[in-house]
Amino acid sequence: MKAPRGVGGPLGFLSAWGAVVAGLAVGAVVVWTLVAGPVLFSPGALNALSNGRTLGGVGTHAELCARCEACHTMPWSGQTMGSRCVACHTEVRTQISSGVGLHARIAGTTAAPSCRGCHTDHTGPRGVVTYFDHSKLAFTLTGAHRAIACDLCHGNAHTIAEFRSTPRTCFGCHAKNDRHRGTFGRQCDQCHNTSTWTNARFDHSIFPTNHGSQERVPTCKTCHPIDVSRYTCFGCHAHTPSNVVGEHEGQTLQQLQNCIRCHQGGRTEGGG
Amino acid sequence: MAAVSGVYLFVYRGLGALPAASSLFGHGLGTLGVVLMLATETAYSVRKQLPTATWGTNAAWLRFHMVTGLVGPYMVLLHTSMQFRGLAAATTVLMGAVVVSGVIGRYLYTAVPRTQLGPERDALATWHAVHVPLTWALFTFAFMHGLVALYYGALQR
Repeated sequence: MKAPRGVGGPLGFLSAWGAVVAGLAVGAVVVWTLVAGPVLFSPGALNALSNGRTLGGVGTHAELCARCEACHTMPWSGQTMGSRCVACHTEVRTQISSGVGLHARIAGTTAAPSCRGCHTDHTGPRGVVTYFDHSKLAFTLTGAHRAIACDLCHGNAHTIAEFRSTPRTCFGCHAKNDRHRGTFGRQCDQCHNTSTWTNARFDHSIFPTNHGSQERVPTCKTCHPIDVSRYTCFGCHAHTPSNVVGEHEGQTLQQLQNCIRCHQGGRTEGGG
Repeated sequence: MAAVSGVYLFVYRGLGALPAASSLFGHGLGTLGVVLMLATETAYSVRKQLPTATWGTNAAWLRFHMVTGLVGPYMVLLHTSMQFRGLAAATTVLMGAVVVSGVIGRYLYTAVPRTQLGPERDALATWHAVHVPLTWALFTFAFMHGLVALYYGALQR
């Protein structure tokens, strides 16, 4: 062992003393591994979310936290991590071997499935373990769609046909969210984006609030006294029920309240 | 350091969260940080051992060593995504110790005249006897961390 140089020369870094310390550091890690186990190298906690099933004797990956070898293989073992995955996830193995289902198309072979192409772990007890690159498909995920669980859109889909049957329109999934009760149609993205419902940009030009005049712009309450899902033309100008009936004398009006059915542009003449 | 912070903040705002240590950006920060620390340390040490060399003065290399000795660890700290566990946590602690001892050494170095003999020069030698082994331990831990991450994160299939 060489002591650090003192007076009379540069203080050296590349010394036997340094090599000894490096060796001690390696020894410390080895001892630490023997005492604490290989969890010393863990990059994060395993997923603790359960889907109610027991696979490979455990309900969640978190139960395997001290058994690295359950998923991680040694280079000389002849196994891959993917083969360890399908040892428990037998339904995926069945999909691959039978050639039926999503995994049959994208997950390689049963001997060496390419699970890591889409799945991971060590992202925390409630972390995301699937990061399927949805941008490679025709339906690109944007906004809030990027952060939600797959099954919110895909349910329990497993086969290609089931995945293809996933609704592609806003209304296909969000009919239950329509607070306008169908009044504004089904093209939600005319006003809304995929980030949040509340930051909508409503373009009222589809029914001019001023009826084409630049002088009088009514407030929202003028036409929507209850909420924006409902409107009324009565109470403005000469739009009283009796006047409207008088104006349409000789016509058969089925829906006296629903002016926009005929006056879609807010014009005087029907259909305008 | 401001440039690194700027890029980091840009990525942070884009993601809405701290970039993960295992992401391409996170790995880039960690790798570049270590390369900076290692390259400057090696270059400075080699230059010191070659008094007749003409590629930069010792003083210039020491300044470079101090700058990259701060920027490198700063990048590694950002690489951690503020999560500390296991060997990676031990490596971060060691890195902090090396940086702190480096800062102490920088003031000790300027306080002790180069021609000074006696207790002051001995103090510098003693400091060096702490700073250098700490650095060796840090690089050893960092390499083990890197090798393990490389194997489990990329090579293992």
